[in-house]
Amino acid sequence: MEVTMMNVVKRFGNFKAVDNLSLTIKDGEFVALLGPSGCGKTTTLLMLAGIYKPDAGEIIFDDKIVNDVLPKDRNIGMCFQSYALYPHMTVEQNIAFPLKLKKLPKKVIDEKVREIAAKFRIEHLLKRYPGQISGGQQQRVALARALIKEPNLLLLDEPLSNLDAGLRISMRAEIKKLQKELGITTVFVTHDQTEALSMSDRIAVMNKGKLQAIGTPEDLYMRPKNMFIAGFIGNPPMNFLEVGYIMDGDRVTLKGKNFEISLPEEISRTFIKKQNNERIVMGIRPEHLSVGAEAPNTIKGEIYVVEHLGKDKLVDVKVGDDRIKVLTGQDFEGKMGDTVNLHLDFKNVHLFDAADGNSMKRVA
Amino acid sequence: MKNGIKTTSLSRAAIYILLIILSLPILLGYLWLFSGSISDELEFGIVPKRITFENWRFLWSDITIGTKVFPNIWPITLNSLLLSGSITLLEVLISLLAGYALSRMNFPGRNFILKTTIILHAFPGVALLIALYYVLNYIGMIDKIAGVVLVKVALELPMATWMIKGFFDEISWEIEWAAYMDGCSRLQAWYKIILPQIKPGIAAVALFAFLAGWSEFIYSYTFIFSSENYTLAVFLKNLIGDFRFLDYGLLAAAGLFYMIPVIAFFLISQKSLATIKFGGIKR
Repeated sequence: MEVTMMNVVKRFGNFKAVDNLSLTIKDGEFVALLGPSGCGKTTTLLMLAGIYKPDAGEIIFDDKIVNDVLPKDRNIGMCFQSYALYPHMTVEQNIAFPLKLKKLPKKVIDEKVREIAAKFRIEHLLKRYPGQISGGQQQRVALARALIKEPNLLLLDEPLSNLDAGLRISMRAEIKKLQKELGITTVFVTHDQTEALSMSDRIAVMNKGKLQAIGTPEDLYMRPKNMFIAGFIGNPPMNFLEVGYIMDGDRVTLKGKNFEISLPEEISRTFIKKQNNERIVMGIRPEHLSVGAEAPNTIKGEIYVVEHLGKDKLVDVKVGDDRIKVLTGQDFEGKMGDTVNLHLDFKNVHLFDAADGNSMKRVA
Repeated sequence: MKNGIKTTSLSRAAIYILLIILSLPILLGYLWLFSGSISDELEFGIVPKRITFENWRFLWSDITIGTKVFPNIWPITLNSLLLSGSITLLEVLISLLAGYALSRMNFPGRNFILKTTIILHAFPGVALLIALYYVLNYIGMIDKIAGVVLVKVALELPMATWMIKGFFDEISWEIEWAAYMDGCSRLQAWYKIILPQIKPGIAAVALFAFLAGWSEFIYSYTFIFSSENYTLAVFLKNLIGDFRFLDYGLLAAAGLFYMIPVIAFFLISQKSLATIKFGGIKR
């Protein structure tokens, strides 16, 4: 089922939780709603579910406006952060509940419950109560309950956030595989970008009730539209350095307080031009910086602290008042206080307008 | 280590002694009631001299005190059960609906209702006696058990609703939403998903309602005149009625009889009652 939201607004009192949101989710697509807490992503999900009614705009399933359709008539499966299993029912009764409400014959229900329980490997738990099974098992029961009625749309509200780290990674893969197998349109709310990047076909990034950008994980990571996206996507986050834009013929130089970087011509061509001496922001990810020998066109700084991340090290480098994070290999041997030279991977340098935060990349 | 155990057992003993002293007056009272009901004379205040069941004769025969003949106790017991039962049923049903609305729905006047219901609870019911008499008389409910039921339910309902609202407040919205997603209407979600989860709360409200109805006296006494509509509390009052012929043994036995359901209720439910938290003043 294709889902369209057109200029949707939701207010709570004077607070605009969702502000003029327009979004189309294609049939069978897995879309993540990503954003910091309070950005309106759960409100958006609950509007799709029919729990909240939009104050303006339209929500369209295929060709039908569903603003006034009750949740029970939308044929949606939903899995909540707390799982929201019914504590007074056994696992079996929980899973069977949606079908019971549809008044299907008992034989059909039993058949389907057994089928889906086998798929989620919870057959041995059917007679237990939700309070008697683990968090990971509860999660699978909640998914089974959401999927048993073969919904047209699956909504997942932070389904992984209550699981421990190991289980989270395995459930991530499992949910993605299941979604592709069933081909069911899915909207997934999360504040964890790793989840969003690893599971979804497209990510809609929201902030303060507004849609910031929507795109494939690669799009958002490689070509962020503005500073919010650039800073939000990627971990550890992108370094931002305020610089002056200096143009000398075709040559573009970025002048910081304690460094000066000239962009190669094939790189500077991909950015729109600015006035001489205008203030702009240069962004570069920790993984696109490296520590090397003293050379022209590098940034000189002093190691502030070195963090071990397991497979690599995160080096915090002090450059004047600025701090730059650099991702290095495990074999990096620098110590606190050492002077280092940072080499930039120029293909992955981003420039942003200091005033509105928009990317200066030319649209190809 | 040894010393530590000693002090705890010492302080424990002190606590027990204090508790025993504090509960002694109540215990003695009940003991007197029990001994008095099965003997015709007491020694040292509480020791029965001779066991007799004569005081319990009201169970199998009419009784006469002085010149006054008292009606058989069984129809009166039935009246009391009818009164308490109706109060319980109405109170639970209405408070479940009202509590849900106050807990879950936003409507104009909600805060006003929340505040005024508690004032209504604090209002002394006795002050309303005359006005209520007029009202009941006007709607033809005077001298009827149903009239007393109406008055009692109206006055008990605010507290019951507040209690029930607290229990609804504890139920997460996600569970209710899940019920909607699974295909429930609001009413279905209410009785299929939410009510089963607040069973202890319903039991507590029902119990309190029943006991309040069972011990109801002032309204029954004021609004009911026909002896066929008497309740046990009124019956008991009438036993004391004439001081010249007061039969303490009979009074003790009837009083004990009156207490049986209450004692039974507490014996059955004290364990589950003790685990209930009356929290939930969230809004």
